[in-house]
Amino acid sequence: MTKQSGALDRRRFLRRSFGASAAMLLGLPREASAQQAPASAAGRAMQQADAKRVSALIADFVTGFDIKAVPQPVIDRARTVFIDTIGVMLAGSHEDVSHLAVAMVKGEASAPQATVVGQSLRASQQLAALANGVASHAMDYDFTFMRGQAAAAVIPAILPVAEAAGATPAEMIAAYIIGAEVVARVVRADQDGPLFDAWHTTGIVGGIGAAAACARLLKVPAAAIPDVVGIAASLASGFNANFGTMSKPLHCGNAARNGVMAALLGKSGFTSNPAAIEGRHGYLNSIGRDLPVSIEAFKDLGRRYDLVEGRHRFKPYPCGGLTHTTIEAALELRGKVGTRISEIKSIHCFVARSAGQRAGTQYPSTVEAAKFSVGYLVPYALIHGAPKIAAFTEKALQDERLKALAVTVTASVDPELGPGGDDSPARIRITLADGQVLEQRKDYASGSYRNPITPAQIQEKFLDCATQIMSADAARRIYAFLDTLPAQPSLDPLWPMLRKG
Amino acid sequence: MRDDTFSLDRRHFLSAGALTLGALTILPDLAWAQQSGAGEAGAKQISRLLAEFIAGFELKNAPPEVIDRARVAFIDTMGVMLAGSREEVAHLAVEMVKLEGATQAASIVGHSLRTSPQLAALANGVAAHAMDYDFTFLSGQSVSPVIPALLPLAESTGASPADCVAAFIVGAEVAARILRASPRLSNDGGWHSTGTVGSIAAAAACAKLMKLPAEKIPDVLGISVSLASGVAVNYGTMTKPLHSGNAARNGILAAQLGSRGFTAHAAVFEGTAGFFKTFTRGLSVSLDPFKDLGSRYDLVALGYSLKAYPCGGRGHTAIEAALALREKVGLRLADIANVHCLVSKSSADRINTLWPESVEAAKFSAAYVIAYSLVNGAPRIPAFTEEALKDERVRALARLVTAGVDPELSDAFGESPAKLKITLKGGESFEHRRDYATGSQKVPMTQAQIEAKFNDCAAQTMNTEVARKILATLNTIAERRSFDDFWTLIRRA
Repeated sequence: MTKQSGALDRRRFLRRSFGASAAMLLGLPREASAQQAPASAAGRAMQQADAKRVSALIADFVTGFDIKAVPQPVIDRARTVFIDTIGVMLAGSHEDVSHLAVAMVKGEASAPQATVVGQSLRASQQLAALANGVASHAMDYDFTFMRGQAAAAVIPAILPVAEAAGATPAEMIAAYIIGAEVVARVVRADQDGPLFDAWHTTGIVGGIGAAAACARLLKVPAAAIPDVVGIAASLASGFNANFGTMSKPLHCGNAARNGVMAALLGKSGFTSNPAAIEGRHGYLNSIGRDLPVSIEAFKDLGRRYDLVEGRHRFKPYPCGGLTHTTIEAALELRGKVGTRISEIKSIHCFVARSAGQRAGTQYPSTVEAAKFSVGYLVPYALIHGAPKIAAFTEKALQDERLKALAVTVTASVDPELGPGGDDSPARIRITLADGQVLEQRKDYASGSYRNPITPAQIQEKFLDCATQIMSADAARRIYAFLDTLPAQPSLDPLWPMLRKG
Repeated sequence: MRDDTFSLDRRHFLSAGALTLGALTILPDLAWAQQSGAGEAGAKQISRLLAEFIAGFELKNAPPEVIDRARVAFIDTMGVMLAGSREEVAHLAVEMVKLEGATQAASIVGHSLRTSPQLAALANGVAAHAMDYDFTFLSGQSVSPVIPALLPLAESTGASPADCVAAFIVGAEVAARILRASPRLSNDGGWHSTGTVGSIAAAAACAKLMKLPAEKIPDVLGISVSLASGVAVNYGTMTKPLHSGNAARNGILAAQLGSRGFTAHAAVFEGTAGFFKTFTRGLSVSLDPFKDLGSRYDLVALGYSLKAYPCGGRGHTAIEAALALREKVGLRLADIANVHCLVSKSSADRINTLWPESVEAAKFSAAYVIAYSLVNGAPRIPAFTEEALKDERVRALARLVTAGVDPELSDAFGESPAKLKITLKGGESFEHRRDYATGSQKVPMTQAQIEAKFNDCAAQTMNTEVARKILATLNTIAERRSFDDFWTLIRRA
């Protein structure tokens, strides 16, 4: 027997008390609670924008969103992100971290409600979301948006929910746009500031976007959406200390699963604080204690689309994003060096500060280290051309020609190249045996908003990814479906194509 | 197909860890190099210190008082789980678990549904914290998720009751070190320790119960830190007990993944990018408390407070002052002109004098709990029902309750002293001051009080015969080799 009155109770209690502290509730003298006054910037921001809470703005956006009113470039971007994300998910489903996640999911023996991408197994929506999320972030090859891969958890979460709910392609695309736009607003609370510095946006922000997207697919009523948002805010986790380990992709899987769970719980009447995002001791206030934030960004939800106007990047190479400009500088020099590879005396890489913090020059002993080693990536690009998935295998690392060339690689941080960030400018200087010097600078790698990826590159990347686990024919069929996703009448044909055998 | 070589690869990469990237490069300004927390006096990484303690702990070497604390923790937690399982929030959690349709490997306390250990842990954790009636250890209910996680894991793996006791002690001691290292994590940091520290404590306990070797435990802990969450803004909503459920589930998930080779960073706690710096940005942190792991037991050294009443802990001393004055006032309740309650500053933030509009609000209303105590005696579970809130005698008396802050009442750690003054219409007045509530370190509950609370809780969901059997098992938990029919007792038929 459930006690409905109890639920109402708590809800009512909350409506009266959120954001308030002792001062409002009590008959106690003022000084007792004066110290409770929101000293934090988050608290002040909340008071200024008191007209509407963040969770109410999100609720309006989720329920009022009409895909027919969305500009075509936004739909196109969403379609491209589906192609890109499902591609990396298929390739990532073959990684060891995915096998471990799927083994755990198998152990749960959950209801076969949804496809686990790249596996024969079907699982509950939540667990499929978890496995999908791990797979899509496993190779760190997924779509960069706003700050890091902040929206990476959204598609992994909505695929199983769309499948279980029998959603149409248009509904699924709408859910993605909603999720990505909500993620963008959370990031913009402090886009370039220190708030998210120590946190992995994929985990700490992604779950909130995934929850909003799932709330749309599950048709959660507007009144319950603040609860969904507040639950997701309380489940948000993941910080940078685990970069370089399997726990990094787990942040994505966990955020995707949390998004589904928050939407399911909120829909069922589970309560949270409507001020969870901006309130005192709330989400923004806790992850960036006392840092200034702005919730203004939430006010342009539905009027501006960060999917086209915000920072984003499709990754053309399955390795550390900060090395991509260096790779492309090397690719351009490849044409100039031609057959004179053996005449190279030295290769010096100038990188921006942020790349200097991540990248190394020594020849890598592991596949994982190869992804961050310009000592490997530059020789590879010069000898073989663009590094694709095949470049990051034990076998590729054995190449003696690469090892020989790697010895000539050195690197340094060039302050002129700036701090680096999502775009990290780089310069390479090659000196040949006869003293000739070849130089190339690259400011924006392909795939960035300044240097957009082409449809042909997207298709090539998708096929490279998908053929890691399926035939070229099967890969092309999925690509054809996703490339025309907005025009497809039903998602039914998609799910069997995404499963293994 | 599992690709084991690749797994080794990453691990290898990792075990070289922070140093690898630093050593690989000639580039200056290395974030990773700065992060290598081992720098502090060449000390061992915290996750390795914890791993050695967790793997090395043996129940037979633990002082008897520590084992007894664990026994009482099991009784108290089982009681509040049984009572909490009847709450609306627990029903909603179980409905969600039912949708998952998972393997029937473990019992959910107070429910007939069986499910996977992870999901049973989630439902149990929500129930344990649903009424906010679970015990307080250091500054919060940080170990709330530990027993909810251990029980289903024990049921599915066949671990013994004594193993559970050892695992609980390990989890509690780990939680205590993290809380002592960052005492302002929850009050100033905004992080609910039940969700954040609780995830790590549950993971430590589950790793122990699964008998994982020391070298696997840093991964388990590292995963749990990456899953740790829960913000204080959600106090007063159903999401607060969800923090406990989620932390309990995280503990099992982390232990299961870590046991199979899933990796995390060994330097996850210390350094500029570590847990402490990230979660307590700018607040004071000291890593010294990790040094006395194994040589001191905080379960005894600091102890925990059992809650004697199922309402806000800051009101307990006021309740007991009211109970003391009740004898003096006797039958003259109608003659009361004023009840004035003085509390400490920090208590004033947590309680109020409004007449409660809901059961939840009643738990934080000094006016209600004081009036209730004067009229009916000690407030137990029936005091916090819609029915009880309709009592006109209590309502009338509550109108006479006023409150204020007394600067003399200190805000010392874990205390919330209260002074109560009742003035009768004739001018006569009675005063009582209460510094420590029953259940606190200074006034521990007696075995009889512990059992009375358990029976009151269990009676919400089962008959006294079954409750008696559960209590008998838990009273001897540290000596038992087997749980026997315990699992059928804690489920609903």
